[in-house]
Amino acid sequence: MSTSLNAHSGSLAKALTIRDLDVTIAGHSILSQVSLDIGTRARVGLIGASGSGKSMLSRSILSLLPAHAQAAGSIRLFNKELVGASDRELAEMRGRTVGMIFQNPASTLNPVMKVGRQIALPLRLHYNLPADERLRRVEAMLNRVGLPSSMLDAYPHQLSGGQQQRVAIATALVTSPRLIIADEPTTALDSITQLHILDLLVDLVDQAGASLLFITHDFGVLAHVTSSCYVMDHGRIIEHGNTSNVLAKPSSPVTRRLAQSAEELKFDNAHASLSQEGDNND
Amino acid sequence: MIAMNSRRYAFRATGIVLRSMWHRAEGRFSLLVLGVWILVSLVSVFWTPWSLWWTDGYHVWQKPSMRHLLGTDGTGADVLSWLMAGSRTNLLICVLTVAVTAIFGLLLLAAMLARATIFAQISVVVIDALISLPTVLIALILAVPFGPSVAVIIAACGFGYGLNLARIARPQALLIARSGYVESALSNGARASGVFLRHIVPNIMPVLTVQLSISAGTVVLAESGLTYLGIGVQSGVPSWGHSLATSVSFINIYPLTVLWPGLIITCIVLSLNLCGDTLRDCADPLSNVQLRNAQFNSGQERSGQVRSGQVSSGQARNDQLNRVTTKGSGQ
Ligand SMILES: Nc1ncnc2c1ncn2[C@@H]1O[C@H](COP(=O)(O)OP(=O)(O)O)[C@@H](O)[C@H]1O
Ligand SMILES: [Mg+2]
Repeated sequence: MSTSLNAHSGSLAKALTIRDLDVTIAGHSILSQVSLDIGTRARVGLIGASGSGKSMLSRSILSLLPAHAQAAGSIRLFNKELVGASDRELAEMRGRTVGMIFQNPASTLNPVMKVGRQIALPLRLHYNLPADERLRRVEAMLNRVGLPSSMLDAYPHQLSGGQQQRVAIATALVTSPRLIIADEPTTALDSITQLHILDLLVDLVDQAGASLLFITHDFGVLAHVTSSCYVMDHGRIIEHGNTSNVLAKPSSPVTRRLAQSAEELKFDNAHASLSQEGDNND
Repeated sequence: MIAMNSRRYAFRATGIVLRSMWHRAEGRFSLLVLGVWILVSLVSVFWTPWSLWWTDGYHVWQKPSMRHLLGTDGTGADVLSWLMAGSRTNLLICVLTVAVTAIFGLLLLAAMLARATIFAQISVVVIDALISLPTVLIALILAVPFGPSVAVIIAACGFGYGLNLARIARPQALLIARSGYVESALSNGARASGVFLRHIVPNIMPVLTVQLSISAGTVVLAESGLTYLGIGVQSGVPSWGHSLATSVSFINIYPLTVLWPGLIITCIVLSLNLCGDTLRDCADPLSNVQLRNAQFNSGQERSGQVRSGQVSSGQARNDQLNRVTTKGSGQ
């Protein structure tokens, strides 16, 4: 398992740089003065209680905020400014440079679309490949997330929650985006499946040489996946640094509370006893 | 190879849907009636027992006989021949109205969902107001400048039913537009049009199927009503409404001549509605197990080839994409 610090994140190149981002909806401040950096090939965490604005931050990166939301500040993705970018540029970026994985796999998959077509969608949207070439890539991607080729023809309801999330991961990664945003990707899953999915995600992200923004409300999960992290509360970044440092010496009461609940769950023990088992038991 | 594959899949899926419909009593009934309708329409183009324009002033309002199986009408023309010829006019009206309803209704629905258009704000009230206009009134308005014609029926009914379709499908479409899979599609770079066609329409298919089949049935009824009022099919053009209209004033004296078109219309409307209901169930991949299991991507034709072949990176067009696939095949 590659949970250690990313050796190659030392370069100056940044995948994502957010500066002084403010988001307001109908006069209410949802995010204020958010600044965040993700290096290339880095796995960075974003943690906060539910309702603290984590999903809003991930939506801002993709410019998919609610209709009446207003964003100010700067979001640079591989040195390209996204705040105020044209619809065309944004559509081009979504799914191609940035891949998104959502919380609830059951609702992120179209119920009447076969898994194969579902995974092929980002390829269809961004690359003009011949159909058989596309199918070959989709099948390879499906196998890489640990699902058999026969599942190309399955409908989402025929899959378990873990398998559905594998499909969602395959969909996000099939175009080989350079930044992956995972918004609580395992919150809807049981703890065993959760570990399998996290390991898979980390492996795939590292293999592809992509960066990861990993959003969670759970410190146990965070330590498992990321090396550095940002803590968010009420729309502000209240703390950031090395994940193990933040976990060991939280400087704010909010972080302390989150860290405490992670202690109680003791993920590392659970993981040690489970890592011998097969990876496909979900 | 894939194009052939997908055509073969579409062919096979259609076969499966028709077979599942056939296995249900109401489905079989409606398929039989609609099949006969289409067959008779085709035959009538080339052959009817009597010429439509053959009249016999000495044998009007005849009872059914071997010479005239369904009797003759007030001009002495053969009733069966006129009904046969009428079936093709009604089939044309039915098919075109359903097409107009579907296209107009879906365009309207798309406009109501697109948050940028003014439709989104004003649409519901306006559509409710427009729905309250009866199709008869719309047909009247159209018939004044253009005169009665098949096109007036299609336009008036297509417009009215299209409004209805959009209104009825709207709540469900709105829910889907806010669903996780639409959010996911948008985050993958899908445009509004792609989201509508790939995600919203397939998920409101049951509602669309039922509404369109009701439209098909209703326009058969509407044709006879409008033609009776003189704003439908022109006189001289055979249609069931025409047959009904020319004989209905004599219903007390010669009831049989009214009975035949009446029976046909009833039977067709019933079949269309039953057809819609069974089609909704049988064409739904989530409830029809056979359809769900119809393999497209990993069918037997493909699987051997894919498993033996490595992922080719030679024809790839993009470095970024290449990176992932070569890694994938190396695993
Ligand atoms: N569509 C919306 N309109 C207005 N406020 C919203 C909307 N969606 C979320 N919010 C508010 O934004 C805040 C952050 O939500 P969110 O980013 O979803 O939190 P989380 O950290 O759990 O992902 C919440 O306080 C929520 O009330
Ligand atoms: Mg959230």
